[in-house]
Amino acid sequence: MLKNFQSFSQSKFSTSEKPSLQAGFTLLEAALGALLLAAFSLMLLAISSIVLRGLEDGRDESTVAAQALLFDKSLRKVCSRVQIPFWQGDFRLQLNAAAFSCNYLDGFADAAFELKQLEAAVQLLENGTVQNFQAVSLVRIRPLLDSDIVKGLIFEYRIHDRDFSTSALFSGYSLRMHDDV
Amino acid sequence: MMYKRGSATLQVLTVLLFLCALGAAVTVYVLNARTLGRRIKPEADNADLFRIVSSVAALLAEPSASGADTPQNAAFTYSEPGYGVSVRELSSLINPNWLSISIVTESNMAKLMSSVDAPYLLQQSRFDEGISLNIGERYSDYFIKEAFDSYLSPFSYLNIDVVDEYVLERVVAECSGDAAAAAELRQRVRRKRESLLPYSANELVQLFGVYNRELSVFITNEAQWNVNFIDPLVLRAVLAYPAFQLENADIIAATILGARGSSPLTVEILQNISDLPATHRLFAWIGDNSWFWEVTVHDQERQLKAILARVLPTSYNDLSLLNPVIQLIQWEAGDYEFD
Repeated sequence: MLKNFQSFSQSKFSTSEKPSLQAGFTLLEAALGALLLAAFSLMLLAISSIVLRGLEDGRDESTVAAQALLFDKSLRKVCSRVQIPFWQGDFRLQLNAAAFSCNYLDGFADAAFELKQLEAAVQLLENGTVQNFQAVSLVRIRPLLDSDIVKGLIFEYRIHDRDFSTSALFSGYSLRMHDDV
Repeated sequence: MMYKRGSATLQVLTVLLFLCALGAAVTVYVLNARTLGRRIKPEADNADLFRIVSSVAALLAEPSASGADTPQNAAFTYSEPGYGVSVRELSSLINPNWLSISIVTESNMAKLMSSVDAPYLLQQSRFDEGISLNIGERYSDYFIKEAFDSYLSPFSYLNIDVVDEYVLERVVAECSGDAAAAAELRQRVRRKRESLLPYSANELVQLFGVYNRELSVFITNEAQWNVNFIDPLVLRAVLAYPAFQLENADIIAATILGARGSSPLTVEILQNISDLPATHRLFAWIGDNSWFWEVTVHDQERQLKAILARVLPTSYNDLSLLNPVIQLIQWEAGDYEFD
């Protein structure tokens, strides 16, 4: 009786410990899982590709933006130093995309700032100091007019095929009409 | 039973995977949106400070009952909550660009000069090197340091009857580009001065000739200083100028200084006090109008210092009468520093 029970128990236990095929994944499930994983991997790949491309574009954008910001800031700063006296005197504004100059820097008739277009950069000269702005090309410089009075300058330029424009005011202007500029 | 348990595990895994993918997508989107879509904080454009300057200019442009510009104008007491506003009249100060050497050497204005020779050196320097708005740097060798704080300003129109004739030639040459015409103009002004009569508006137009457009915006026959603002030292110096031959200059000066404290002074009142005819040369120096002001506006952080100018009525551009009579011609914005 006991012997019979032991053999029964052993057979029962051995039967229950044996892994059942139904407890794991079927071939269909495994295949479906693999497909899902593959789809997910592809999705992640696509997303990471988009993100990386976006990051690269963003880095390019930020580089251009930084160059534009630096050039813009320098133009505004130098223009804010121009004080044309109310009697004007010999105010000289040479408007040429290749070589530009404007006098009355800090209120002095013989002090001028200049912009020169080099091969792959623009050079800003003021009071003996020189700044080079790489990848910038001047397109056009024109006076900023208000009621026919020159109150500043509008600079149009390109950086890596992007168009930019900076409108910078002088810190003073003449009472004389400037409709001949 | 076992099949269902396996399926449930697979469903959970799938849902988790999709949730992860969704979370990753949302994270990437939010990160990009925060980086690329972030608004760049605009730099302070000081529009509020410029608006206050415009309000002050409008008050200065309002004609007073007496016709004179006086310290009683509401612009000098203008205020706005949160802002500090101060207005300073500039055209009654001494402009070293135009200053006549004779009045300096023959009056107590000489005490503002750095040396006995300074007036003559100043005259030569202006003729050789020209004039400048930057007087602190340009004329530091010729005036004492205290003069720049209280007595000097580069903002005043050039009065044809009182200006130093050599600087007149220099500045006319600069503005017209015609040195010969400038020398000729100086000679004509010298001859006119010998008549002891001031220029009329028509005579000025004839004098300027083809350069009327260039010169009439800053050369005028309007009196240089406003009797309501002129510094007592300068007033006494002008009245004591030997060429005017005023015997009681000190009494006239004291009467003017006493009277202007209680009521606005006009040229007519000045004529009565001094007992001089309207054509006297004194009234080319002293009148009752102001032409330039400095307006300083600040809040806790920023400051704007602006120069306002009243356009000359004799200006070439007659349309200027239709434009704002008082214009903002110069400004300097920066951080406010509490003293």
